[in-house]
Amino acid sequence: MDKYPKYISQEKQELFERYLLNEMDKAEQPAFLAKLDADASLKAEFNEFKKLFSAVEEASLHEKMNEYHKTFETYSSKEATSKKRFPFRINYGIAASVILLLSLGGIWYFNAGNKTEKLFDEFYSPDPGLPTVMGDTNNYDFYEAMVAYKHGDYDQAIEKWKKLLVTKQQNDTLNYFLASAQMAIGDEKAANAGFLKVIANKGSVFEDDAYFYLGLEALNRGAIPEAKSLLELSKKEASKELLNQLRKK
Amino acid sequence: MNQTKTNPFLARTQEETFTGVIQNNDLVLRSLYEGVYPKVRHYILQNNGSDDQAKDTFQEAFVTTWKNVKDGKLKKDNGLNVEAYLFTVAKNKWLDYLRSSRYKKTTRVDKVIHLRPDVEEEESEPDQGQDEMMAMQRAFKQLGEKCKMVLKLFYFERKSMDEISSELQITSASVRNQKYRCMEKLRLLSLEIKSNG
Repeated sequence: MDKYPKYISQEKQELFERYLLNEMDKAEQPAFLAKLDADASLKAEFNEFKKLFSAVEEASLHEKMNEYHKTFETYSSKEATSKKRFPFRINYGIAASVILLLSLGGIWYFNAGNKTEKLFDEFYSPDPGLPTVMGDTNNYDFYEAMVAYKHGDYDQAIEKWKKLLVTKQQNDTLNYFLASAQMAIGDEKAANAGFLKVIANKGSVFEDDAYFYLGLEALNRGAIPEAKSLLELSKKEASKELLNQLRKK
Repeated sequence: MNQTKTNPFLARTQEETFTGVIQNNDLVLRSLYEGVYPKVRHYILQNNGSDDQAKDTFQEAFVTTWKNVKDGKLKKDNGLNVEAYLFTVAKNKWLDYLRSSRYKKTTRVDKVIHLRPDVEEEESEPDQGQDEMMAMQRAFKQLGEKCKMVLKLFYFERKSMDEISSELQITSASVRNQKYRCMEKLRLLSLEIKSNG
């Protein structure tokens, strides 16, 4: 005698599959459900098969998620590198050190500067970008640059997006990501101009993010009141958190 | 319009997202993952978490959301947004963890009391049959590569016999038989795992 009940026939498996894959027509589906209701052993077989089907799907989903996550693993390591490349924060540290040596007042400035820098570091990370698998050939150039952006190759992304901007001056997506890339390499002046263009485009889906990055840029310059008023205009959760931190200062 | 951050390049209605999730559409699942993960990561890092914890919590939430869409617990006609739902599930999972004894054993309680659960979305994941499902998934991992591939292409990626046949360079009849034999093997392995604990 078999240790376990025998597995269903191939025909039965295919019948169950057709139901679960929604391949039955309007007449067949209720007839199948009625059959299940009338036959307890068939129903038990169906329920077991349904679980196996779901297990295959869920196990496959886990594999897929790890595949999707690789984008972020590459990105995170690039992000760490790009943060180190931020030129103005290095200068800030040097400036603060010089001031510390100059006077007692310098000690206060150094501490204040450190707090600002710490907050900036805590809240700043370049926008993670858009998924790059949409396959719309019309936007091929845009997404080619997005791939570079997501890999931390901001210079290449900027070069490509600048070319597209010639014919799409008002495109908020383009302006937003170009500005994000410029901010990531420390070109805050260009980034500011780009984010302002996004805001000028009323109703842009990037408006809250643009205000957030403008606020961060002001914070990085030490312009706290300006940073606060910009962050107040952003509905982003991170903007609210940063604003709270600034109010505590 | 029930959309989160969308843009002209990514216009996709909630209906398309729901259908895509139900059918395991790779583009839809990928953009859902890539679109929501950065926000969850940011939230968890801001609330005493690490990158690894962000990944684990988000993936758990992703599976819960995916299941709830498939089971019809999250319906497209009630105005819910899949992206927002996923974020809330992940956030709630992280808050649950912060309140858990596992976390409190190593952390001062006052660090977390300001956090409030976000109750606007119900997170429902019944534990019934969880052991059986775990056994089945373990069994799937133990299958041979060929079996895993056939089952994955058919049940997850929803490819036709002909598509699988050309992808694996075997006849359609062979695909059909392998699919049946591999499912039978999966069941047997699951039963063995379950009975051996």
